[in-house]
Amino acid sequence: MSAPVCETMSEELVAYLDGEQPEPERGRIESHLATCLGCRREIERVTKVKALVRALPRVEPSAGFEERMWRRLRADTPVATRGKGFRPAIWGLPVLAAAAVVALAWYSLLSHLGESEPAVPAGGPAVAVAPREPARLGSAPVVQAEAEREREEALAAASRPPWDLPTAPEDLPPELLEHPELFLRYPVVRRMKKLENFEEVRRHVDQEHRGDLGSPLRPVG
Amino acid sequence: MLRFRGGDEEAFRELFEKHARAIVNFAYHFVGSHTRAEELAQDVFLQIYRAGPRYEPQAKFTTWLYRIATNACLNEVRRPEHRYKKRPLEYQPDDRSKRTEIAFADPQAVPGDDALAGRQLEAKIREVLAKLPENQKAALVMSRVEGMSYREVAEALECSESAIKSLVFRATATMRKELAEFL
Repeated sequence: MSAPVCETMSEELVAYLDGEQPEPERGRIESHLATCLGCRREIERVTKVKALVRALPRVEPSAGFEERMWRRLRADTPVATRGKGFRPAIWGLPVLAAAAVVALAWYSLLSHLGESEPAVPAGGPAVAVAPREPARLGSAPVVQAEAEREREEALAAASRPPWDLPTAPEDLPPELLEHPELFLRYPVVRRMKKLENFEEVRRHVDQEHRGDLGSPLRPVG
Repeated sequence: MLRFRGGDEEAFRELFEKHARAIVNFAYHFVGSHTRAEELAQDVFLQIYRAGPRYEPQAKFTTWLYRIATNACLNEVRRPEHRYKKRPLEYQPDDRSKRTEIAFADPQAVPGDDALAGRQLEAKIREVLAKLPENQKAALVMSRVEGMSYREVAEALECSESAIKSLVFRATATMRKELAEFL
């Protein structure tokens, strides 16, 4: 049968072992231990428990830990916060709602502008180029200025980023690839951004090849 | 820390290199996940980085560091997602590469000397630690594992030294009871 541990001594023994008892208390406990077998055994058990906890292997950071830290420091976004899911601040919802309204208004405005463009007639895109005719009939400097403007416009269109093109080049009809300047001269078609509209251009190219059209769509210069 | 407050970024790097490993180890006792412990340690140092310009040396830097770390860990374990995922901290074979085998300096401390017994014992200690109430766990780990005095632990946990004495005693008593077969 094991000797009982003095109830009033238990907590004091742990602090004693941790070196947290002041000197007068230490002396009192040591005097008690000299006479109490139960408390001496308790001291032995607590010492073992302390040793076990201290001997636990330390968890070491993984290889990329430090690098990730500096990356996060640069981004300065705590993962723990992100882990809690998206919780906007109290002003977050009104701001989001306002942003949505602005985006919707902008989208509808753009749509409205697109609809107000002159429709392309079934016969081809002649309407689109018709307003340019008077310029061609004008004086030589005007024609030259017009040609210059169109060239710049073509160059600007060609230098647009890929996502601004109506579609990927490989999706374009081969005729258009052969006559890119023709495609670029159709602002209406360019803005439509729908592949089916190129059919109109293709028809026009066919007509042009057959000689049905004059040369109004030939690149100038 | 005062150097960092003065704008010396290199001082922050030194602080991180000196203390980050201890904070990862500390956090691991709370969350039981190596990855999560690393993220929490990073969160702690991000907080320190942000608070750097306002730092006032009212206590030792480590005391302040462990206060932030304890708060981060407690916030983490109080999250519903964590409670849902919580499992007893058992020995995980896939973690073997990340941790060293348990090795006791005192051969008397372990019945037998085979690695299996050591691993079982380690698993048991971690399991018991994981089940401790959070305040007891924080006090015990800071005191026993990180070697902080009761006074430092009391400052980190913002309570009295006598409260820490009681927390450490209760945690030790639980450990002693649960590990009786190994003693």
